Amino acid sequence: MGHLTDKGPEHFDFNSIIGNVLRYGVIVSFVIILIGSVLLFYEGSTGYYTLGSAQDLFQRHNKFLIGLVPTIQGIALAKPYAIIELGLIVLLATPIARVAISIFLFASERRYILAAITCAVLTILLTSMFLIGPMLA
Amino acid sequence: MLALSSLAAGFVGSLLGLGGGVIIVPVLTLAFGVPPILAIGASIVSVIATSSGSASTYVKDKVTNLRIGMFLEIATTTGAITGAILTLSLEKANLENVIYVVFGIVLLFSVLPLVKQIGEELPPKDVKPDEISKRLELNGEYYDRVLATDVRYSATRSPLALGIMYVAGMISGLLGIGSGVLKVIAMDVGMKLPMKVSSTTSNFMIGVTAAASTGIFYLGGDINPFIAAPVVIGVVLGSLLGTRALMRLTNKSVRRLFIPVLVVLAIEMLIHGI
Repeated sequence: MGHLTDKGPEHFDFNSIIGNVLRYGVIVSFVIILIGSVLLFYEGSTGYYTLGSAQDLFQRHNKFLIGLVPTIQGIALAKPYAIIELGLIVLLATPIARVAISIFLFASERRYILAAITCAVLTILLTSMFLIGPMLA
Repeated sequence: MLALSSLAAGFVGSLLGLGGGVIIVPVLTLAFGVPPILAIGASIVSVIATSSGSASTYVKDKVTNLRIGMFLEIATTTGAITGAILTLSLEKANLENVIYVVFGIVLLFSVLPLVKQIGEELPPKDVKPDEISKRLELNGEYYDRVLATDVRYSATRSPLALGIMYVAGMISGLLGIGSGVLKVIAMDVGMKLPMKVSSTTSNFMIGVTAAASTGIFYLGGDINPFIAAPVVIGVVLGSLLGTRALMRLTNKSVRRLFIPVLVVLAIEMLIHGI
């Protein structure tokens, strides 16, 4: 197509892979969130408590559904809240997945230093989420 | 609920260049009375959406430099974590006014590049890569459709770029915005990359930076889905509309529309904080 790429033909087309991960990640999460929101509207309740005033919206902690397991349980029961949470999780997972995939892509290019750097970024991301997050709750 | 989502959509619909965060956070806090942390959380989530969405196109076009992006992300993610921790600490110490003031200042500063256009299209020919760039092969080339040539480039002054990226990340985590402007400056002026590479790579990086701070907010329970959901929906729809509208407007009219809006928001945030 006349493009110069800096990867030889024997490697994967990284740009396409990562581009697709990003794109479909957003699309999937968007659809999920949309479904959850529509359901929320339709049922007038989150599946856990009904929405009273606007003040209900601004509670700080969502103690019910932090974490993957309660979320999956909630989805099995089609609770709108859980579905929205799932959408948000997918959205959050998209860049993280992109970083993880990049590790393999760099390694397959034999760019080991960059792969290591990407590993470091992934570690930073995951540590911040699972260690620092709950600490500051 | 409808009000929340439609407003998010409407406002972000006019976001044609700047990341959504700078408008979402003020609107949520000032107009809707949302506590700043929740506003920041919701906004940063939507930033992931816009960033990943637009970045996907640029990456597929092979203009984005994935290596430079990944490399600089060490700095942005650590910065983002610092920023998120800072903002949470401020909230705990009941010093939320500081957030408003900082936001107002940052907002004012981000108007400047709009007013005075930065960056040349292509860097000078003899950019000498620095040691780190050489080691990591941070150079690249892309095919510029507009200029109809292949453009080769290398990167220089990596340490400086890292430093700026750290600050950019920190601002992102602190305020819930994308900090795209600062990132572009770091790459364009700092590393002497071509403008298109700088802006597309910045776009790409914003998503990961936002994810870093979102991670902290999320498991701390500071992301309220009822706020985040309409914001994300509005933002995505708005940016779709925005790219279409961009075709019909000139750069000048966009800037004329934006600058007063941003200045007004900045002043409001400052007033609120002081």
